Amino acid sequence: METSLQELYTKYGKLVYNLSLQYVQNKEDAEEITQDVFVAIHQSIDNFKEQSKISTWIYRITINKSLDFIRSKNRKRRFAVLTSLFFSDGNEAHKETSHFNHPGVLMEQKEKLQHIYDLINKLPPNQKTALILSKLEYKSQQEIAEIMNLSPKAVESLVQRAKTGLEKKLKLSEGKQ
Amino acid sequence: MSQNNSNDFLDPLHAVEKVEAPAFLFSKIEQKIRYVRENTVSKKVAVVWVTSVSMIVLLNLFILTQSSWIPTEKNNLLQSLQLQNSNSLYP
Repeated sequence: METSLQELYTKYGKLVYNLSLQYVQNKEDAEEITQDVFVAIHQSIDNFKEQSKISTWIYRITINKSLDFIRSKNRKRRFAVLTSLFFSDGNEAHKETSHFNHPGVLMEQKEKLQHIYDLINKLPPNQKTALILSKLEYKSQQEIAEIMNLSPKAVESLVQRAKTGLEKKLKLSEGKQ
Repeated sequence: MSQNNSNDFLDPLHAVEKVEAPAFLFSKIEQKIRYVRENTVSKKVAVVWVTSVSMIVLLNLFILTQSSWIPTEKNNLLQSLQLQNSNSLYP
């Protein structure tokens, strides 16, 4: 079992780590998500039915774990903000905020990409997933449809809506500057 | 036109490079699996616990519902000893 997990890690570890990086843009958080993904794989590999490709299955687990991680982090942040209203230690609210630390982004492009990622992070989860898979993972519409368990038409519409929403937000933020 | 503009503003994303996962990550995963294994209760143990607790609760409920004879016995005892079971001194 341990060896088969090691084989899976050798084959898909990089994919899981990079995909989670696209969601959280932070090294430490992506490492935590990668750990959670492989723990989940270890726990449910026996139940994996070969109805879909193993890579599709791993993509799904990574996406779910990344979204769960973000949700839990946001919950903690909200709680910290609330507690900071009642208790004097206001710094607590900022402890849970991750800074942008994407190892795949070059220094000279950091500012520009951080801005785009900030806007992507504001998209609804399914639009964000469709956009990441299409624009950062270079997956075809058919592959995204399989991963997200949707029809290719629905994926196309999600990507389009994400791009339109992003463009609007970008123009709005440029107008503010 | 709009499509082209959309692609233009997303073009910087092509510069994002794929990186290698840290070398120590697999040993961390193994550690986490060991931790999860040691700190989670197996399904069998959980079923045994739930069954035994519900048995105890049911047994308690059964005893409580069956204990309605106790006051009757007490009344019998009072009657046999000709004792008053009320505070009224003048029957």
